[in-house]
Amino acid sequence: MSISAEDVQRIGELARLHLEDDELECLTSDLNAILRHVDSLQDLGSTKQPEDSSQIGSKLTPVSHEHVEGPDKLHEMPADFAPEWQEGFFIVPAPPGVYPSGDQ
Amino acid sequence: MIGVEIHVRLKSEYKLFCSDRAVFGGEPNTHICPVCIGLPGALPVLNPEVVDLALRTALAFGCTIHFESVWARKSYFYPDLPKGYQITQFEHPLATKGSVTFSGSKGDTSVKIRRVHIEEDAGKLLHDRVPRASAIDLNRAGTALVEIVTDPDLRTAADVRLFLGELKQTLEYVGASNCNMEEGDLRVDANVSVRRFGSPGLGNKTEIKNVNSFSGVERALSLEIARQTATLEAGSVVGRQTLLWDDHREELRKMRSKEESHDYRYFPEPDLSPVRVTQEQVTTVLESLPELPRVRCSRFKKVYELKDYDAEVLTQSAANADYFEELVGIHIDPQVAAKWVIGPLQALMNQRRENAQTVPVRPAQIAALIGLIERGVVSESAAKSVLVILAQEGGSPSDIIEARGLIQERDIGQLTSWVTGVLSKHSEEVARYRGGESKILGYLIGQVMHSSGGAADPRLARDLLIEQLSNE
Amino acid sequence: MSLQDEVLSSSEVLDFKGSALRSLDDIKELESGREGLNAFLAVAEPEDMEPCGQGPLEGVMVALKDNICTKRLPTTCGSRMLKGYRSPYEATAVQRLRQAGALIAGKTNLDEFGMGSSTENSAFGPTLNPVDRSLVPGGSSGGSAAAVAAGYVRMALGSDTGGSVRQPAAFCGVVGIKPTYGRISRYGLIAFASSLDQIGTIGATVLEASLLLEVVSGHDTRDSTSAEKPVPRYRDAAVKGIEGMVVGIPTEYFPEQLDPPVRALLDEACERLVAAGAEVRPVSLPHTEFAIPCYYVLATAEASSNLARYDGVRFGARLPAEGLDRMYELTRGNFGAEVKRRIMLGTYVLSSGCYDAYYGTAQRTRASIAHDFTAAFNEVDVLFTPTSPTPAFPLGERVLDPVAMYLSDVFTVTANLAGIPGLSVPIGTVGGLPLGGQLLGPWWGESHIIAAAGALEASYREDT
Repeated sequence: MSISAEDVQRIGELARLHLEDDELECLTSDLNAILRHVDSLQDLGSTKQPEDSSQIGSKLTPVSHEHVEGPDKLHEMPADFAPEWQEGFFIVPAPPGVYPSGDQ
Repeated sequence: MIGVEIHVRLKSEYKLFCSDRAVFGGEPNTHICPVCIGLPGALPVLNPEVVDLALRTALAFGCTIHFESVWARKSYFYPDLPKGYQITQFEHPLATKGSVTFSGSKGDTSVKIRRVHIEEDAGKLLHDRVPRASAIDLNRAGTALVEIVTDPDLRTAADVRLFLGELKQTLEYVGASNCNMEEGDLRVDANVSVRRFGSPGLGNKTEIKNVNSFSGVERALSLEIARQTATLEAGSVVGRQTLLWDDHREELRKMRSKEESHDYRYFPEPDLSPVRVTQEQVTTVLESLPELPRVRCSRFKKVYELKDYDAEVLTQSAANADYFEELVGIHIDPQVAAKWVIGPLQALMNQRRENAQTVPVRPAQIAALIGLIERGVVSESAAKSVLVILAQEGGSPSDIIEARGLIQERDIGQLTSWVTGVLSKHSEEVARYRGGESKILGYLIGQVMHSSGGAADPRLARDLLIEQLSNE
Repeated sequence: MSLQDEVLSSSEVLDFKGSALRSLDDIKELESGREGLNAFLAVAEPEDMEPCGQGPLEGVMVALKDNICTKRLPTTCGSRMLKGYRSPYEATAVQRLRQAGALIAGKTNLDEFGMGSSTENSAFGPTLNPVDRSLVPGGSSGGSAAAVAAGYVRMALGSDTGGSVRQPAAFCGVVGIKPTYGRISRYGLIAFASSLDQIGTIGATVLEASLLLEVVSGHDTRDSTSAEKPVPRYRDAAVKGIEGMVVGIPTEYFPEQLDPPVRALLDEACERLVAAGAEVRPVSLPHTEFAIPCYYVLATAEASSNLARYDGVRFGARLPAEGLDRMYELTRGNFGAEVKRRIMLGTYVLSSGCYDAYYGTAQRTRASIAHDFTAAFNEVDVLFTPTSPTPAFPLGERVLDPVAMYLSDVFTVTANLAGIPGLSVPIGTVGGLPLGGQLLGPWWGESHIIAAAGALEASYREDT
């Protein structure tokens, strides 16, 4: 499979990555090179399915919930790392098409 | 053809994947932690209480429980979604294939439940806090929700409203959610498509989002059904679209196409193992489920011979129904018990903003009070004020009655003197009574009550008045 | 003596207390001078070092890769996106280090968000290989490997998603261990690919890398993927010996293209294993050729999702703009080219219409690769392979050719895909450059690979 510059543009939008024209060109060719490589996976065809092909990672049952009070709880701290903070809220530019009053 | 998706906030004490308390209200951004605000390096950990509540929900609707269900990431960018993805369940939900029966506009109607799954809630985006910008409160982020999806079995806007009422009642009954509409505990999206009667194909469907009240759902659907009908009758085709309901303006507006075209890129959540539920767990939950509202209501009608209206009102909430049955259990006549729970107790609870579980007056106290009324120790109207005092101060009804001098006066001598006194001062009314206006008796009884400072037994007073009035 | 020989023959190996070869001031001075390697992005002040307990690492200075959250020192992930970011909480692994008495010396350089094999993708400049400063130290944990190889510290934590601890360890001539998936808590490790990431340990010797592993390992209730398995005394495994151990040599990891001197060193290492009492046998891992494409589909898919939170809303850098989407785009322009490439690829393979062909297929391939190992470990105790096809390559040689860069991970990604533990240990030099041999073990088989590595290390040390 190969992808076009339009595809790359659309993916950029999905990922909220702005791409300049030269970046777009580079990325399109890079991605195609990688995808050519990745296409070899298709050669695998039907493999013998091992018994347990579910997620890797330890097979845990839900762990008993430890209510950790203490250093991890955030109380006054967001102001320390928030890029914009006013009156207890994180502030961002309004999303497009929003009404001036009331919640979404 | 209408199908609905309902998001219900489960009443777990803690959030779905972290150890923050799931609370409503409170100062913004005070119930947050690295996990629910998506800080780098933080990881979700499942709160088992949520699985239990979700099971209660699914089993209340008769769903098939899947012993293994898988978490998935649903990706999109929005400021109230901290990680840029929501952890939900996609291909392998907790439960599928249930149903709900409700009293619809055409009688008993059944709706199939396609699936019930667990997911986390987003935070809140507010647009009226800061000029020309939006403010984010993440207290709600990470709270546990179940999503309930129905098949498109509903046919009218009114039915949808009735169905939602039944659903809400069931959720409260099994203790899965507080279903507090003001707090946004229940949110509804509806899919509707109108087609010509007899036409084989399925029309395109419109999705209506963002409705926070059942009446809003009904209004929005009525509007949309009318619009689709008009479109079809004009010979056009209904296009697929998503509409947002504006409760303020009571209108539907189209969502911008960019908002609409989401590619959620679902894939299994690598940070969590699948939810595993055992048959034992399912059996335990099933056995602990209370009798569901419809079943309880019919039982009340049958066993206690209650009127339809009374049975429905009593079974509105499990707490009221429990209270009523406890009263009956202490040998109070069901009709009397019903009257007291629906009347004075409910008025008291409304005034004190309490419910049948939290109101401090317990069935035993009301039973005692009713006993005192029946023995004539206190009048019914006085008893109602005793009820209020019981709520404020506690104690036993008989102590209160004695302490406040509310014991009905039944001494004939005393009563006779009050009656005589009233009659002598109200000769005009006496004449009117004798002239045929029997209704004026009520006024005269009131006057006797007034003279006696409320202590007179009104029934005896009435008897004495009638006796004296017919004597002369 | 070359630096590597010096490290291998160090008699300080068993004396950990106060074993800091350099003080913090020395590190700062060296790094800021002409000899600076740019291994450290931040060096601790004495008050930052803050141990909070006593234990096997008391008084020992440890460096941390800068994608591991610390409260006092910043955590940048080598990215403009997190420049100056101070995490309000610290990683579980760091907590355990401090509880064991360790002193956090500083945060080391890395490829941005762990994405890369050379540390050239850092927004704060590459790290140089202390053995030859014109070469890369490997990546993405290049800073940690260089810091240990240069003698700034004797132990460091890195992270390994596709070889990012083992390959730099090999390039710098030190020891690197990636444990079984779930051995070390990922809470506080800034995620790149959640089902592949593990914190790994880098040490001047097998013993040090093993001790560090022992201290940070163990179940953590804050990481649902961490295992409830007890932690053995890995430090003891280093000197256990390998009498009777069966070592498998997978044919797919010894392709024709390997340079003769590299092959010679690998053969010699095998002979040394036999001399130490092991038996060597050929095995086959037939799905090896699909490992790189499989890895790059799964890792980039997970990465595209894990990096969605870097949006300028709640933390980190923000570039202001009129309108929300514009702010997202400008802010996320802070990502470097390699990160963008991987986010794009990952987004693509998950997108509607592509999921089954790419992600679905890769998941199945992954299961096959894991199964290859399970079958092999029914016949053998450990596997021996090269860590990387070549020793360290020159700065600038591969950074513009992503596919060439990806191919250097060919021997290491399989361990992450299968979740099995892997270790790189020095097995000599090629043209004066260190070469690493890799040992792979079954799930929870850390003790075996440590024992094998320890035997090799001892064998080389006896020569000198």
